[in-house]
Amino acid sequence: MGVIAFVQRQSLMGEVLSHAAYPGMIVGLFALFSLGLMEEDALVIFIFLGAFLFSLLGGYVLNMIEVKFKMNKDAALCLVLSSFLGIGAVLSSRMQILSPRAMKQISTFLCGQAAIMTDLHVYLYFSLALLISLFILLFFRQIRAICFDRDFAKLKGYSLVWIHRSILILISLAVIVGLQGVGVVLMAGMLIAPAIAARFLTNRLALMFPIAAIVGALSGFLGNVFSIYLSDYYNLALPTGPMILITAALFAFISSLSAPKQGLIVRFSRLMAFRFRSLRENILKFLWRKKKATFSEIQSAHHISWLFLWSILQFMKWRKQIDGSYALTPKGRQRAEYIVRLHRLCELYLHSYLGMSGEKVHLEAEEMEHVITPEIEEELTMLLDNPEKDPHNQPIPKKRGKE
Amino acid sequence: MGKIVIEDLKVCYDTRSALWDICVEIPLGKTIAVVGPNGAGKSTLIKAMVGIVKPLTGQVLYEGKPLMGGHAKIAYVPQRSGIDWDFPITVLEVALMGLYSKKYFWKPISKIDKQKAMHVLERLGLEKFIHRQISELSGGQQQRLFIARALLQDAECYFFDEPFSGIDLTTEKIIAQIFKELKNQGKTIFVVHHDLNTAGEYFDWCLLLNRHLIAHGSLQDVFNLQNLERAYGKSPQIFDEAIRRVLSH
Repeated sequence: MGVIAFVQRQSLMGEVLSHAAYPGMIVGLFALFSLGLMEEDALVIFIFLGAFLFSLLGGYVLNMIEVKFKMNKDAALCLVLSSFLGIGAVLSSRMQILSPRAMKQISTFLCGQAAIMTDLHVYLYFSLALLISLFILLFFRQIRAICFDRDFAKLKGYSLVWIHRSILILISLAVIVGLQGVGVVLMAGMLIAPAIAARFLTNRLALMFPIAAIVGALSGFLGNVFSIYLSDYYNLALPTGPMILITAALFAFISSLSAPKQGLIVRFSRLMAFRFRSLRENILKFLWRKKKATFSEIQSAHHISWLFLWSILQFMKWRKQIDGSYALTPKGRQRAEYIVRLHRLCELYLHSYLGMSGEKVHLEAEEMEHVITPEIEEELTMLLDNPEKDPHNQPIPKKRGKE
Repeated sequence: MGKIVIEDLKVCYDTRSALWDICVEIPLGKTIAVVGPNGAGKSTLIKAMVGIVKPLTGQVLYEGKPLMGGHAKIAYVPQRSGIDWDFPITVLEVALMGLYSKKYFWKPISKIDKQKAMHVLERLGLEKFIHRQISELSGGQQQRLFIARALLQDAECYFFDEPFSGIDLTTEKIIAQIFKELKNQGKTIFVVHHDLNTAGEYFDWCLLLNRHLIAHGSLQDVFNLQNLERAYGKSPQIFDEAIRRVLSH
């Protein structure tokens, strides 16, 4: 459900709903007392019911404030959120007197406590998860159309109101179920973090749902594991709820780093790949000029650590560009000549078209030779009328077939 | 021949009136420019016609029947600025939205549907980008994508909200071509347009608005100094050019 809230740009919705649920729980308790029931299971059910109704109320009030009074979204969110929490606080002081024991249980909801979950909870969660999946599967197209382009959905005659209501109901349910685990304060993050993680990993809504579900489940599991092991290890009582949230946030962070197109990891590895290739090309040139060179000669010419150089040379051997005694193979020679050709073409171009002096062009060409694609090479050749000498009067190697 | 009738249409935003007393009959099969100054209610008019904005009073009849949301015969292309371009959806998925049927919303997309979509995307020059996320398209390509979706809806009546704003020359040519094809198929096209000078190239009918309907009819009838002054106020040197161009077409 977090995915839906996220793509509708209503990320703080969960915050409102979870805070609104707090007084609901207490009202639930009041109802329980007036009915005179005191069993453990009844307690759970009443708390759930109260929370559910109140969070729906919160969502409804929020919507009303926005639509009817034209209030700014942020302002409306803040107002609803804090006033519901305030109501909760007032009610709780009354509850404290009525039943300190029940109140203690309520206060665990503020920060969450996964440890007191019972079988009943497990059944509740499972059926809710099933319900949500069913809803999404059945109405996927409507949901997507509504979230993406309301006007279009309206024209298609989808029942906007109905679907909006179902979404609100399901988000509230999801929030309340989560409350037990991570608590009122952290619930919004729990709702959104998996969605953020999923958004970075895919561009398709259809894939966001399962990915977010997996991230959510994983962070629930890992959060529990961390909380138990770290608590044991450091002899602390680390709370489970915050641990789960931290794990989920970590997932979001990692996925933002490793996102397929814009992620940092991808960018970094692309940069490294380029450096690596440039270095290889420079070594090829070096060997081409020297004909034969020892390891230490290559090293002193390129200023890199011997381990790095060694691995590059191994890589070049594997590509069959050089042989065991660091001499170029025919394949390596061809590649090297091609690079020298690019270098000298660039020099000639800079010299004759941009009017740069002969000394300067070498350094520029040193950079350019690594980024020239075969297409640009052809263009340059045509533009310069298939030249034979560079500005320093060095021969430009001829092109020799495909590599 | 059928027609579209707008009866006594009034639209208000809050307490501010946006459109007042629009009464007009429009013959089917025309390409209609909706023109007027900023804030004249051009977009509001077509939004009210298709049912996105709820009018205060009045109705729109298409061949005698009310034209409202859910009508299978209309397709609407929104303004580009109204779309959330970061939404996780690909080009092909947007186009396929045009093929979803209202009744059988769970029905999977068939191969034929997919081919249809590909065919239309090809016509609009988008076939290379089908798996891209929509924010990775240029402005013109984005506009074309939403036109593709509308074409796939296979409507009788098309509504475009400022399709010519902020696009490249290629896109402009493609859109003009699409308008021509739709006209030849006998479809009715409403286009919100703000460039008076190019109106003559693309359209043969016109609704001139400024809150009220100022004039309507064939472009040659509407584009005269008197009408344009009533809509825009006095700035005759601009109008001269526009009128001259319309008459030359």
